[in-house]
Amino acid sequence: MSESQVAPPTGGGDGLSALPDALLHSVMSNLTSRQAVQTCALSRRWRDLWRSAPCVDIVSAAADGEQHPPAIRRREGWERLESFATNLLMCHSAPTTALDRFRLSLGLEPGAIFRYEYDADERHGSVLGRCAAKHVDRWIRWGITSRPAEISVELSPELQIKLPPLGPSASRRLRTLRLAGVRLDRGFADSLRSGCPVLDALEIRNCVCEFQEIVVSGTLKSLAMDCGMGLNLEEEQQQPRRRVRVVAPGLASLCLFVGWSPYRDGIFLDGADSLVRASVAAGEGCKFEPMSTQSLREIFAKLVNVRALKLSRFLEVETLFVDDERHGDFSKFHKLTTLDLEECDMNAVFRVLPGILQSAPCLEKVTLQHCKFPRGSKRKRGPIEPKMIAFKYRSRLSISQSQDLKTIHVRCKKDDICELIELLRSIGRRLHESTIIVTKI
Amino acid sequence: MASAGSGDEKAAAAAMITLISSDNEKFEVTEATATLSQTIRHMIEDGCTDGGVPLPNVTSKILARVIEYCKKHATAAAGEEGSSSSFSDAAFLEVDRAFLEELEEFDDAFLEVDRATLFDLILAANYLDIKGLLNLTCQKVADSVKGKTPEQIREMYNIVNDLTPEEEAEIRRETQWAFE
Repeated sequence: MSESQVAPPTGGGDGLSALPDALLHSVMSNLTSRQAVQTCALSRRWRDLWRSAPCVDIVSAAADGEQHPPAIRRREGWERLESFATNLLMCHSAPTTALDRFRLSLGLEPGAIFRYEYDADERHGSVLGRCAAKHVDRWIRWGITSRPAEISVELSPELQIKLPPLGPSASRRLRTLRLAGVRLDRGFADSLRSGCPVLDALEIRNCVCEFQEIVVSGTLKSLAMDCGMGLNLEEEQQQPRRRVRVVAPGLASLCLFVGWSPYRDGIFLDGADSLVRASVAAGEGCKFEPMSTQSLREIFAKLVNVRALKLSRFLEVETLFVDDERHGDFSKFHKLTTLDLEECDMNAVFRVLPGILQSAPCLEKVTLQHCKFPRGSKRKRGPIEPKMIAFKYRSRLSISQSQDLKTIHVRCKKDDICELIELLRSIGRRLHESTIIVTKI
Repeated sequence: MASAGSGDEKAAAAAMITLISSDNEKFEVTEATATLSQTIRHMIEDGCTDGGVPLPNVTSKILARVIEYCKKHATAAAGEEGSSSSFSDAAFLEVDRAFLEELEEFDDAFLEVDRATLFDLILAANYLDIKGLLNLTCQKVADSVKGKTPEQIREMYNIVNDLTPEEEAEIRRETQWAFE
């Protein structure tokens, strides 16, 4: 058959400009707003297209892909950003038309921003800092009134910006909410409870969390919470012990950072039966304070239906899993098929691994990544020789190594768990940089 | 539409769907592959796919590529069922990392096409309502203009500048805040 009897319309000379507005908007949705606005100079076709673009992305210059951007923390950088954002929001046709996405990302560079590095004259700088906070607050409010399906706000915690109320009419379409470096108080909890009927994903990172509960509709599928970074530890010690209650009846995926948390009495999951994946990260040097081992154990006890579990940076797993009275008797992961351990202290892990493997009858795959293995004897370090290891265990385990030597696959039968652990011990000390995947056959 | 064949036939073939391109070429695909297109999914739900689905806006050349994409991604979609593909899942990438890498490689290779084909794919993805393919192709165009000046973009896509010098100067003045 011959090629296209119905030729696609190519009026206008070039194929790109011939695409309908909606599709050019889809292209713009993959650009930052600065890049999208710049298309106005291409031709008449493009002149006003950006004004009705469905996404507003205000990002710091570095994220805009510029080569040598002035940092926002410098006066020059801030004024440039302020001028851009203010003009953009003034000329854009939203909030008359609802947005797909509103994103404000001013970077999370640690250290003093605005108030301290703004000017040599600190008093002047502080005034400008307050002024900056006012602007940023206004931009966020603009974004919320545009009824976006996705809001993403990433600020430096030093700005001390409180998230403005989402409001029931503004959050009716909201499906994804990502927040970093903002202050979240009770008003935030109220917004979640009374609005957001279709919220699907919620991410809270490096925020100052003052709320006591998260109650969301059954539509929420994934929740990520890391409340640790914006925290002033000394101040926090003076605060009464708090806990946060999470009620998310449809939750499927949960990510928690439990290293430093204002919720020293833990996170109480109310009905987490629907959870299928959970990832829990502890921090460097974390001894399960401020969040107590007891609280963590409560969380783990809720993960009965989880199919995939990932533990990151756990250096003291032992205290978590091994109860003094009921040795090794921890929650039963009767549906768990995948266990990932990342940057964990294997010294402790080895002591609990048999217990985990035994209380998870469906476990099929264990992956160890960048884990710290116990210091071995003075045996020389060098490339692993899977052939040697395979020889020793070949009757029971099948071992293979990926071409880049970074991944080792071990396949074993269920009864061979003890041998497997012995194997991991013996090869582990030379495996710091490797990934070990254990599959049951 | 008339060329679509007899609609009375009770097509009972094991969940196979026939897609008919604008140049009358027929493609047999599984329902799982076809339903990556929301447009076709709705047609199946409405029971109007007997005798084939005519797609008067898509040529056989483009439809073959679209089907190639759908076949590959249908398996991925099946695995993702019931879970949202949102940020938290990034933490679980290990689970199917190999598969995701393979998918990414496929996508990269898939996008190695000339500009005209890329635009046709965008139009087809839009018409057939295949979100993943639309995103992928629009992203490709967006990536190509990132960090480029208007002059460079015009040259790259043969965009004729029909603005008078006065108009262009005015636009630049009005939107100076985006160019500085």
